[in-house]
Amino acid sequence: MTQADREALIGFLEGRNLLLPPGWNEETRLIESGILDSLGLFELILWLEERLGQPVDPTRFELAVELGTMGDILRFLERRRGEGRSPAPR
Amino acid sequence: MSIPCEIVRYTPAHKRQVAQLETQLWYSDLPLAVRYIEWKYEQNPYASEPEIYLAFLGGKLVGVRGFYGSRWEAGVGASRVVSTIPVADDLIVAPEHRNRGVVTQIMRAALQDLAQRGHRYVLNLSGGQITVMGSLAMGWKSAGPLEAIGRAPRTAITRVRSALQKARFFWRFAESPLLRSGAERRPFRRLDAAARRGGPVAIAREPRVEAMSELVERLGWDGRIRHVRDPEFFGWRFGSPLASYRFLYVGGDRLEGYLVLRAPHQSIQVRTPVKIVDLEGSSAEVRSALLETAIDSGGFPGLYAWGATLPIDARDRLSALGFHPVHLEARAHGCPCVLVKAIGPDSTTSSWELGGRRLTDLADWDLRMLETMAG
Repeated sequence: MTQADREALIGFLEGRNLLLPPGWNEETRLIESGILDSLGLFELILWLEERLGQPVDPTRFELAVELGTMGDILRFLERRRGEGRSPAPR
Repeated sequence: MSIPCEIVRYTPAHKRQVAQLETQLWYSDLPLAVRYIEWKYEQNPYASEPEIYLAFLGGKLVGVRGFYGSRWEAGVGASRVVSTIPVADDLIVAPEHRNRGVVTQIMRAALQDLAQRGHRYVLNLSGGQITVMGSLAMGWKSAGPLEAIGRAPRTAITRVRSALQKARFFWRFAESPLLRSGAERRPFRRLDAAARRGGPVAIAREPRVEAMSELVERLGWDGRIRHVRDPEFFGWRFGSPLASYRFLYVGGDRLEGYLVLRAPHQSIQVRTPVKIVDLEGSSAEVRSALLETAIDSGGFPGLYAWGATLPIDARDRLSALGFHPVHLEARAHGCPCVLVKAIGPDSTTSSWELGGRRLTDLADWDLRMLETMAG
């Protein structure tokens, strides 16, 4: 995962009106806790598509498992790029 | 973290509150919203009482999730089963309470209650992209995309609307009611005129409930999962106050085919196309005649269908008649789709099957749009 991705993701999450707990980190459970609701997840998918430059079909993977925490999201991005589907943004 | 809500089951005493919250969703007509709740949940033939779950915060209703009753059959011979399954629909959260975990709380309470009432599965058949996202995060599974297809001839008004959508500042006027054509304001006008002229395909405003049911029964079926389509279903289904229907028939007292078209009720302000919501025919020729009549006699500014579960001959005919994939962003996200969730204490070991057919594989479904609230 790139530092650019990490910073962009933090900016995305903190830029929305989410109830992030104080001291939240990469392992804070965003979906299970309800911090990211349906609209938040939809916007996250759009954010991922923008980073990857390609569509992301959420019906084809386990959403709560692969995007459950900030760490999961960053690993998802790295995996998709590692599969040769899109380069990391500069 | 989420703010705790009080989750309660709906009673008729909540009707007006729920209707008022509903009017924040698509339409502002409160009496219409009340009639919709009554038709969908209180008059539903498959649920002894409404299964609607309400979230209250500080005594104020902030969220609603409805589950309407439905009845499905699957399997052939000895493996045939008929099962009543709640279908999730009508999800509303007051705008000022979004992003606060309200949906998660409602769904957890609702699924627990539905499981205690004996249900093993729940469905969601007309979720928008955002609802699908939330459902997938809660362990729902998609059986597969329904593949929206449509046909929208370009007219002067559609060109103006398209240009406005791209224009700075003026984009907000693109959906103005003033920019609706006569055909969009009265979508069945031309079809009703064709009905008066007559022809080999009869066009009507009323369902022939017994004849349609008899045709469905007579044509048989391969055991894929489908909604029971009998007089009870047809008698209830077309009562939705949010929709207008027209029926095309081939055959006399004994039908050889029918096609059902749906348009939004005239008070619905959101512009939506006419939809092909059910099609049955004893042959490819009959189905083709019905489709061609709908298109030629309807003159619709937009016509829409789900391609995934149509017979191959119907899909090919629609393609030849100008239907193509639409709503591409939604399609890229696997929407619209059939969503399924196993519930209850045995959910982790559930087979996710009904009558030996897989709920999570669209190839095992014989789904018509009429069997969902999209139709």
